[in-house]
Amino acid sequence: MKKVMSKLHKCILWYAGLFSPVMVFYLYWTRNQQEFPKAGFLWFINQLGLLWILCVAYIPLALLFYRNFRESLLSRLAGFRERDEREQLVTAHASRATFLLMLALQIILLVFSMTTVDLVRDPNGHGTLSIGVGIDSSQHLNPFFLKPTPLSPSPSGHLEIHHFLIPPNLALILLMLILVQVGAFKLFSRRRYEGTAN
Amino acid sequence: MQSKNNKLKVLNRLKVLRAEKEITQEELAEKVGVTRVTINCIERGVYLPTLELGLALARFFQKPVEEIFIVEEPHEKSHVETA
Repeated sequence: MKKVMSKLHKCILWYAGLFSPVMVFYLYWTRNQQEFPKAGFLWFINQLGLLWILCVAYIPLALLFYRNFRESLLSRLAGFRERDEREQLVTAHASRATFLLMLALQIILLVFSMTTVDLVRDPNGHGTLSIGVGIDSSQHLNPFFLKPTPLSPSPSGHLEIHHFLIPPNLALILLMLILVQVGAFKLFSRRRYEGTAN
Repeated sequence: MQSKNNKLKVLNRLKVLRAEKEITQEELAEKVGVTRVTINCIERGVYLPTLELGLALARFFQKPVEEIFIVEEPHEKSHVETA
């Protein structure tokens, strides 16, 4: 039973990893389509994509409950295993440094995501362009129903552009946070691993 | 407790003792249950082992801990009394 579970675990990870590029291409290919494909190759990829989502959702659960997987992932990301007391110390230092870096980064992103920029062009006043910077948290209170940047010409002919410096729901920001976290941990731990930092 | 500027420096004779026993870092690491890199870091003075590992090394070399790890006293600043 344990062997079967282990094989299944490996298969899921293998599928989640190898199918990711296909999903990226699929999402790019179908970015302008309003409906799901009903037949053909794209429909088949879409079905495989559903399976891929399940496999990806399995990874955080496995990280929580599967100790060996956790350890192997850590050793791959950091480039070493916690085999003795010094390596545990290295992990502790790297975690501390990474935590502080991520906290600082998240605070910066939070502030930037609440910062709005308003551009107002007044055609009556010889096309005068005024720029305003402000703070707005309305989208943070309603993060899943974001609307696109409003572009509103007012009755008086003023053109108003209002947008956030960093949209709060941007997937790229989340991806960047993940990459920075992994990269920072690896960098901090590698520096200490060979005893090059004190 | 030592302040940061007045920190004790701990030297060690691990390399000498290892040479006397004619064993490699890898072999010593295996005997005391750590990695070779850890032994290397201790020898270079980059890493100070825990009490547990210090005792394990002392037991392996059959010597008191003080003969393996030597505390170098910090140079005290001379206080000149001015009249």
